[in-house]
Amino acid sequence: MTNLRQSTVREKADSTKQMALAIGSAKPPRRSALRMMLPTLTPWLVVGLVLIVGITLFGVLGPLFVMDPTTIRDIGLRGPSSEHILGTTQTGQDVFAQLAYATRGSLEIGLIVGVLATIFSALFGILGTYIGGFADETFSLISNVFLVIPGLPLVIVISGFVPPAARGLWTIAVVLAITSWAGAARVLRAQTLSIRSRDYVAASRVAGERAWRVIAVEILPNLLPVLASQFVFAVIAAILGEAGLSFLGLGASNSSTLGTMLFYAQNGFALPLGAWWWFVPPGLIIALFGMGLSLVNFSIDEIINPKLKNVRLHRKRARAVARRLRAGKDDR
Amino acid sequence: MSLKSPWRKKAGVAVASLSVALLALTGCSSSSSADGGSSGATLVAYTGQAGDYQINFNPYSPTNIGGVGTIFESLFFVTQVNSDPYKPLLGTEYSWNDDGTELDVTLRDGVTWSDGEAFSADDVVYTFTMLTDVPAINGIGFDGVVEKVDDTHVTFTFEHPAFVDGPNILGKAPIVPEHIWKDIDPTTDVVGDPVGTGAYTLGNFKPQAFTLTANPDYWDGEPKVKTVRYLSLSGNTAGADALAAGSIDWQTGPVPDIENISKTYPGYDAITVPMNQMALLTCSNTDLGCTGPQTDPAVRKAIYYAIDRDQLNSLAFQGTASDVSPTFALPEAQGDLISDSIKEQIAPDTPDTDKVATILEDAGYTKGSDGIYAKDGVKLSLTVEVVTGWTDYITAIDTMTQQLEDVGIELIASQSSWNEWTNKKSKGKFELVIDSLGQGPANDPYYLYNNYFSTTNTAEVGKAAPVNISRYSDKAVDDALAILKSTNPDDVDARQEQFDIIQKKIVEDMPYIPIMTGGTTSEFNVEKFTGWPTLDNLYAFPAVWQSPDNAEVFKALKPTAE
Amino acid sequence: MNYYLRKLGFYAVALWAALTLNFIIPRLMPGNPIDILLAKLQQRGGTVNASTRHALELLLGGDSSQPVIVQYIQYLGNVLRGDLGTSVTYFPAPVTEVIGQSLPWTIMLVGISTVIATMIGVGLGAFAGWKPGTWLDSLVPATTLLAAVPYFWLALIFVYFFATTMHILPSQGGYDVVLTPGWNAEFIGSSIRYGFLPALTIVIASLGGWLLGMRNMMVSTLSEDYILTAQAKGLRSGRILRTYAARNAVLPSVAGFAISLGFVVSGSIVTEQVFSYPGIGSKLLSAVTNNDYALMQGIFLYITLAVLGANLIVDLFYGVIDPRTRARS
Repeated sequence: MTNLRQSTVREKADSTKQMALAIGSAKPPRRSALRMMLPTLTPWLVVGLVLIVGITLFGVLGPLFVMDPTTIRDIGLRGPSSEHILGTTQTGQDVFAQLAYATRGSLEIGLIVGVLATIFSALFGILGTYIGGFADETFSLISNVFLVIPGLPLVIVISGFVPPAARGLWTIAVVLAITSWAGAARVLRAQTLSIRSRDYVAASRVAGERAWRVIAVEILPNLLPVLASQFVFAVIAAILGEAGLSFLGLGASNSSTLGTMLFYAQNGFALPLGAWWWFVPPGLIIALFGMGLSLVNFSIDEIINPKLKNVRLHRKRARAVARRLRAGKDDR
Repeated sequence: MSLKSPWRKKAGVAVASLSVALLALTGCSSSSSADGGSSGATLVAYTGQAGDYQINFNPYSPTNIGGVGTIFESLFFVTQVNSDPYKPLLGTEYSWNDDGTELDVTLRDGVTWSDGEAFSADDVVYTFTMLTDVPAINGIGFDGVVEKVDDTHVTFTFEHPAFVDGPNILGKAPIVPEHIWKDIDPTTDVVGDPVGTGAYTLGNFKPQAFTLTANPDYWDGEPKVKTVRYLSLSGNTAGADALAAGSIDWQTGPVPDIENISKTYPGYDAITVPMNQMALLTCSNTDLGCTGPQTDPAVRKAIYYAIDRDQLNSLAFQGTASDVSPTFALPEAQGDLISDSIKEQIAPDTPDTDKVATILEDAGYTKGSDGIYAKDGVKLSLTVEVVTGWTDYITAIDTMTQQLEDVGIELIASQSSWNEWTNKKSKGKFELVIDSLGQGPANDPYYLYNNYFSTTNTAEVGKAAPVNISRYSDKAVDDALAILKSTNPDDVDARQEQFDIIQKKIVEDMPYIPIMTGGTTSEFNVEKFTGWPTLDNLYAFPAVWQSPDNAEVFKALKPTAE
Repeated sequence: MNYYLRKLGFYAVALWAALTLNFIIPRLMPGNPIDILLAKLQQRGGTVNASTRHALELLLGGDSSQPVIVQYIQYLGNVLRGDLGTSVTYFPAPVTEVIGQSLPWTIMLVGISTVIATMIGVGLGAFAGWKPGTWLDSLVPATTLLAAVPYFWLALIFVYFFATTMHILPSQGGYDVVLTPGWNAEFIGSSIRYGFLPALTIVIASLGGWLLGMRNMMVSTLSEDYILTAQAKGLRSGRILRTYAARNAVLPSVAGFAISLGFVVSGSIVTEQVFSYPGIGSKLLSAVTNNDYALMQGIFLYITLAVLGANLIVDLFYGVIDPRTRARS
């Protein structure tokens, strides 16, 4: 999945580099820190949250209500009808039911990879950097090596070692996690370097605080928005990555995800046969969920980089002033 | 559909068309046809090649990309699809001695290589001596001695009866020119400038496409199809799209709406030839280390009777599959070889629930509270291995899972990568595998029996078995195969006697559970060319990737424009 | 100087570690090339029996002829000499030849698309960030949808509309195969036609990231004191945009660009699959499915060198423009 990795690394690289610079230049928000950590409710954020919550609910609760997605019917490929909201597949399986289960599978993959990749990147990016010296060099070396680790055969290798019963989601999730944390770790390293040299961190070290406490209390809170943003990206990247692997026929075997669903639709000639109800919905769900996450990330960006928020506030104020002026004019 | 190859199945690619540019060469003659003769005589073939071609026209290289049959000819044309006498190519007549240790072949006179040199018995002797000298390219296992009698006669002698090697020697060993090959290393040379006796010569080669050009000096006259262009695309769906755009003339593989080819794709027609038996391969032999419920023949038979083949055909195989015989003789092509002693000549289309229950209960199974049979506390649950991404087989397994569940057998699909699946299969580390069985060089079930049921072609679990994946080993079958090996193929009665023995055994033991016979569907342009094989006149196997059969098709075709 | 030496040493160690992984991972894959080739031959209607297997073993070499450690040392030696071995999939072609044949296609397609996507993305981003609040800026969040669409899904839908339905553009292959590759107008024109749709989809899918990054950077930069100073000096806003703001804001994007150029070599497997494009990605895919160790190693070597090289350049580049980095290390 090199091309997907490419784009994620790039996104992370630049968005986080800019975060690094932003944090470096902006004074750490010690005052009213909590309030600064909370995003402001913008329309885009609302849209994002609605998309995320909606799709998550569909994935979590949907499977409880839909029919059995594996049931085969002799009717074959049929368009949407009152009986099957999104029609049926080539083998007469209900697309809507499959969509619910597949959404659940993809969300699971996203969540597993998001958590794992964030843990890995935090471990290698923050811990090593804080300790410094040899540990830093080693951890940074490992990050660089993992940046170029070949993901494609790794899928095959890892799934070969997993017993068939435990296959499926986890295999793919682990592979995606292993191949996706390195870029984020590099960014975290830059961030940690910057924070580590701040006076208040130095002060608490001089005061004899233990390393884990300094990291947990002084450094981590400052990195929280960055970690959150990386988590969001990791989730998107994982869901997209799984879809890409599935397209190549190397996806999550024995389990249902949006990627495998697209693969089946694709191999069942869904598009040439005009069976949009089979091909379009899985891709759309991925896109909308990813968009929701990105929009939330937008708000996280504003926390990381308060200047982004200021611009918006200025704009708002300017509009308000303009309104008032206009109103005043009307009065006169 | 049943012929699986990862590069064909793997990545489907939807919708596509080579539209504009390729229309130029397939349809109207456009200004920019840089090579190839008049466009009407150019046939565009897509073999399922995914990704670029790497030049290799060495007919003895396992990675060659073409040239067998078209450029390099064998002595005779031997095909799996019919029982016609072998069609003479470089040889004109052959005869065996009585015990099958001597084969005399008369060669065609007046044939020249495409570089102008004369073809003679020396080239034949050189080719076969090369096979015995260089075992690395001796894929057909030739172990005889060849001698030149005169310029148009050669004699093969063997230390054992070699009747069954006949089709390979006569039909699957392309003859190469001694005057060129004596200076090259046959294992590593890619023969970028192939010189053969065939109806075609290499036109130009590019990694994305190459052309074969009609040989004006061909001994049987220059073929009517002047240029054949081979394309590389990225898979089944890409092929289907190119077909929809009218940019390829011949391809083999599934397309959408396969039942209505001529309606969906105006100007095209399709032919589906039943060829490879799809089966659940079982690791059947406890003596060689197999474990699991499938080592019990009763379980295998129960599955055999539980399959609803009609439903399977319509849902998983788009209706392209056809009847299968539990004897594994192809019902259409080899129907008269099915033993009369077999009551059920053809596997039943619909499940027989009562029979399944009887078989299992007689074997000591009882139905548990969950509706699944069990014996000695062990649930009758089987895992079937399939390659991730082989959607028709996965669909077939999904369908069978439900069918078997209805009768009390649990089937669990286990998908793995092609690499891992191949490994499990050859090492015997599986319970069931879904796959299709390959045929021999000629239309004769002997080869399938010998490959899939003989002790020589198997190995114990943990070691790689060449072909006999089920680890089946039976003295009676081995003996019958040995007798067949020394029986003249013309002695039909003597052969049938042995076939009866083999078929009785394998139907009884059923190490491979027959599902259906897979049909290989090929689509071709009937508007531009006539003379395609039909089910009534199946002169060659009409799959575009099947060499040397495709060469026979190219030679038989005529452009309609003329 | 010490900084640069250390960096170089560091990358040398990383390279060695990556090469070792590239050696190990393919060998951990189940199966071996012979079984796979055999299975392929059989499925292609070839006659396969014990003697075929024997022949292939002789031809391609057994899988366990030498201890792994010897293979490893030979591998490192060969890599240093630039000998990448012989591909099994394309036997007997040497790996360098197989890669050399497809690398130009990948570099052209993915490279050019990356450059175009970066330029458009950075340009639009600079504009959106320069005038926050305009209609362009308020559309920025919508671009996230593009970045979140599964690439192949988008590509297939594009193909369906532009190629299958409307017949505007060809959708398969790298050029019109009746032409002979060469430096002539006809061939280049054909390559552009055939590459248009794949390039378009790559650009669309990756545009959003660049745009967003640049826009945010621009907004941050605009509140810097030196911009204020420039405005106070009464400079024309176009000049401030180009000379002061954009120039500083673009730095992270340049770094990101260098790294993504490194990944260009790995090609885009999915793009190449969708469009039957003759690049390195499809070669990698077939190497993986065929257990072709030499070819896998060869392609990974190229990827490793390119990515590590790009990272090294970025590191050195930052060392030059930001002295703090140098001091800290």
